[in-house]
Amino acid sequence: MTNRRLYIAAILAVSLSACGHVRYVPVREARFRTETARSERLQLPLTAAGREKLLAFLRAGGDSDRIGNTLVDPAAETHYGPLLDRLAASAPLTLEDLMEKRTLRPWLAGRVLRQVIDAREESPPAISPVAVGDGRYWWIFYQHQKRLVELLVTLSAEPRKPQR
Amino acid sequence: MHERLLTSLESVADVRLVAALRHEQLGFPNEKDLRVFIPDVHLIGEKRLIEGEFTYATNHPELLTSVLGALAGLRSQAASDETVEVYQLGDFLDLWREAPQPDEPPEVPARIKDDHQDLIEAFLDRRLKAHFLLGNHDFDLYRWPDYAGWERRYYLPDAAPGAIVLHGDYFDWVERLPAPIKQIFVYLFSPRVAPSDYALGPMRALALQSHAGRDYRTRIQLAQPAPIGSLRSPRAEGVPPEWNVQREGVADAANLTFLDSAYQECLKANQEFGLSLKVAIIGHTHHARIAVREAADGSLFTLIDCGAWIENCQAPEDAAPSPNAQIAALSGGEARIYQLAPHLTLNSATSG
Repeated sequence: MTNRRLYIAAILAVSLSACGHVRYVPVREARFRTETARSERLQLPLTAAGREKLLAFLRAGGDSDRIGNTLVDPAAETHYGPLLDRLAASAPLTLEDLMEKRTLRPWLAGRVLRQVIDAREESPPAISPVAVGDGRYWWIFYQHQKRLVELLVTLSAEPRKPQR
Repeated sequence: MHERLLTSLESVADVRLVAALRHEQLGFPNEKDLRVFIPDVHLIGEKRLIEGEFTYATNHPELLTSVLGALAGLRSQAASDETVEVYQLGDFLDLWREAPQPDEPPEVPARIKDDHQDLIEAFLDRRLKAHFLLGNHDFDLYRWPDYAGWERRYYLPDAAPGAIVLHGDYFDWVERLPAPIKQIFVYLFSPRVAPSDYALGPMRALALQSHAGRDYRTRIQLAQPAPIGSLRSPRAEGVPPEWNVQREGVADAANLTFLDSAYQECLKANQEFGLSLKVAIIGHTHHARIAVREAADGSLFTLIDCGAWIENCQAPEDAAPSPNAQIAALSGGEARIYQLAPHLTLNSATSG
């Protein structure tokens, strides 16, 4: 192999390793998530109050400091409304809906991860929640006996990749 | 504290004594310090159990859940000057049977746990604060953040340790693959060297190598039920100073598996690292027993093999095998191994 080929191979190897996917989801600081304390977690199915709270967070662009004072995403209702309606529907969502049937794929088409790191907790979760990404947010679903019972939405912590 | 443990276990299970050893040279003399050991569980998902056509599933998961609840209660009620610690000895999640490919993502353990939520929550109950070891069937968990607290060995007690707790697969390597294990010996036995990611690589390679060519459909460790000694009721018949203790030079070779290797490795660790190990506590073989080696100077080395919650065992007086469902306990210079069963269903073997 020539030096030039070796050089190209080395560059490729470094580039590929830099592109490696992060395989866990951190829960962001209070400002960038839908709850301050665990006791405020959104319950599923969403209640009217829960839906309103979540939509306010999304309209504020995922920054609680802006809720009620500064609008960031005017299209939030249009974009996320049908998803919120589904999450509010009385028919409970299951783990199978989320992971195998991908029922929420029209709105949450990103990766599905089972490693969620929440440094507020005393210990890692016994039963792993399911995090689904939509590019800007991670939607973290908590389950009990395979029924989705709680939801936390947090801004992604992954570095933004510039468009080429 | 053995008595309180026994009472707790009897509240949820029928309890029979597999083996016991009370001896001044066992070490661990503190009467207020109880350590409980739960061996191999080998959980896999329900779908995979069927698709993989595996003969064996975890024995009595509901019973094990109840046992863990009883242990959490015992731990919660301990006085401030008492210690109750629970150890799971590795092969808790059977990643290898669930997804027999290396480099599977962390969704694999999550999938197993989804199907056993009551048992998982009982094991990870913060009242219990169980300590976990990595076994050869779940070694890859070390790579994921949820399992950051899972280790390859523990020393007991924390001051002046006389016992080492391992999964036990290391002794497979010692006996079958002597060449590459020097570095791994250091990482497992030295108190001053923690395994780095770099060092864990060769361990992982050996773990993968140990699975080569095996599909585990009809067995994991045992071609036949593990031959345990006569069982006795610890309550009705009492617990003698020695029960079913396997002695080198007397017992069948099957009852002495890993005794010599464990002795030699602990002796080496004592010499090289200034330790005083005289007890090794393991799982892995699925064969519950206490085996001892007495040296010419009268010193005693003890191997406590805690059994399993998968595959079967058979006592000589039993007409049929029983599902392995064992736990071991160490306290006050005495080690015990119990065989558990749901109330009133002793001797019902399971498979599948």
